[in-house]
Amino acid sequence: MPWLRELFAATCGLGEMARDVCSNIFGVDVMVSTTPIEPLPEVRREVTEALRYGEALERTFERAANAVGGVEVRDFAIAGCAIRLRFAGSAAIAKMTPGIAHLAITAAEAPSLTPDLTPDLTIDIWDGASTGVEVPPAPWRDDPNAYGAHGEVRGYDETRVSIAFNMFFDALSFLDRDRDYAAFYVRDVAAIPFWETAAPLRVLLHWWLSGRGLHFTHAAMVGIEAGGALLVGKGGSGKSTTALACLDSDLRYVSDDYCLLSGCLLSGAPEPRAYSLYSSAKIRPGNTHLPHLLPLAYNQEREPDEKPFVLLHEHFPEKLAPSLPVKAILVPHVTGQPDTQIAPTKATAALLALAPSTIFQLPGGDTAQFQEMAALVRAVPCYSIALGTDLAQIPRAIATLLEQVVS
Amino acid sequence: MANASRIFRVNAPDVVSETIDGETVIIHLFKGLYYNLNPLGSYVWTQVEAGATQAEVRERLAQQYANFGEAEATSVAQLFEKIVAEELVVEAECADAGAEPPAIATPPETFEAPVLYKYADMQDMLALDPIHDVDEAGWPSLPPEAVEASKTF
Repeated sequence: MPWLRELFAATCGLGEMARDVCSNIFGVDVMVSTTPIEPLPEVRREVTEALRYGEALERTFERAANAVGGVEVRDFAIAGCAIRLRFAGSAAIAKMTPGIAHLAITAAEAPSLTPDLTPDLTIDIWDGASTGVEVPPAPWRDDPNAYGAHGEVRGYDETRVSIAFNMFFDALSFLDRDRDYAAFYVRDVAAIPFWETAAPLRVLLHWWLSGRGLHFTHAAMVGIEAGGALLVGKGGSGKSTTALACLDSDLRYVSDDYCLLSGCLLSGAPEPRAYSLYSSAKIRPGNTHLPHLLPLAYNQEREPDEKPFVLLHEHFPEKLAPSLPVKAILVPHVTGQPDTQIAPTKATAALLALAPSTIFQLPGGDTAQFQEMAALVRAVPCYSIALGTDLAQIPRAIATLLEQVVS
Repeated sequence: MANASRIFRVNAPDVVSETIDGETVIIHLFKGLYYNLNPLGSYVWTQVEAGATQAEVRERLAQQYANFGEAEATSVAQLFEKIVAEELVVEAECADAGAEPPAIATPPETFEAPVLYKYADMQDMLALDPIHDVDEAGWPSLPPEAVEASKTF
């Protein structure tokens, strides 16, 4: 998102753009920011204020639902957690559920999950345009320092409440951890972008699942039943192409972009495990390696600058694995050479590829999340994978590695 | 060298770090920057974490390396300057009695000047400039061109 900082600078009326330049520290060329960054002033807000706001949101949702004929319920099993989405009417359902449709549970599949029982997390979802019911004004509206770097509202006790506003399509996310209650409001369902449809509710799921020892992780995951390889790296590193190349092999697919990791430290799990979260695979513009996937794109009638994405559960249901134990970590890089090769790499190389791109993507990245990732790279062998242009070699190389490490 | 007797601490909670197999990864959560240190830099970092002053680190290195001279001492001083300038550490009011023991008991076998690698490629994910512009209801807003740009996510 190179435009993002320009955007915020423009929004705030700042004349000078932040720039990244190459500099030299002790003889080594490195990426250096020239941005002068002033710390935000400390903000303290009473959590009772946020809790009252949450109660107001809940009442507002009920009014919105009444205005459009009632509540529509959809239940999902995400990494073993029963998560109920309650929609005011049906307007937002088609925008908010395709990316997690493979995790949907029905009364027939899970008779215990009925409307009379309490799910692990409930998320109320509505939009202002179709219901005519907007959220109450924010109690922090007069505070010029209320918002943090991800649009999160600062100052509340985050062990209890988290709130963020998504400025890209005007959406409010609210989570009350003690009540396992969340609200997601968007001004106009028509403004929900394709990337939210492909990977919905990232912020709320990240906040709530982290309290369950499940860490929202920017990584792809493929493997065999006995164990999988976690592919780590920032966007464009090749992890998505690698995961999608494995659809033509015997390897199972868990994710190509985001997955949930059960942490060793917090959950006490005997081994780290990666769980499926989204079945959507975005195809980068200019990716010439996967032309056969383009006709399968869910958003066929997309805007010219919108990325196509494929709902893999619709086309490759047999390939999707709900979870796999993590037996190896791979740091991919594209070589332009035909062959694919795997070699051991340092744990710190894997941590550098994994941690920043995960932590900086969503609000709430903290010490505990970083420590979990450090524990992961300590516990699991790390490799670099030099990705060749002969895509058929990639799953073979990964399968060979996995057979070695799980034996 | 004027500050060689100062004691520093990691600038938590904004800064987190982990040392694994003699190398350290550091993240400045607030600034959107991340770093890693080579083995000697990592040794120095763990000593700083444990409450050692620059003078104490220099003394330990001088004991370890026969060739530890002025140039080597300068490279260590530069690392101290850099981690202070980057706000990865801040001056501690007093030695932290509960500080973690150093993860690296001894420096690397041979002296190789400490290096701090710095990466700024994730800063674009953060709105580093404060968000002050909100509407009457309290919601921040973006200009239309930004909303258009978001389609490229």
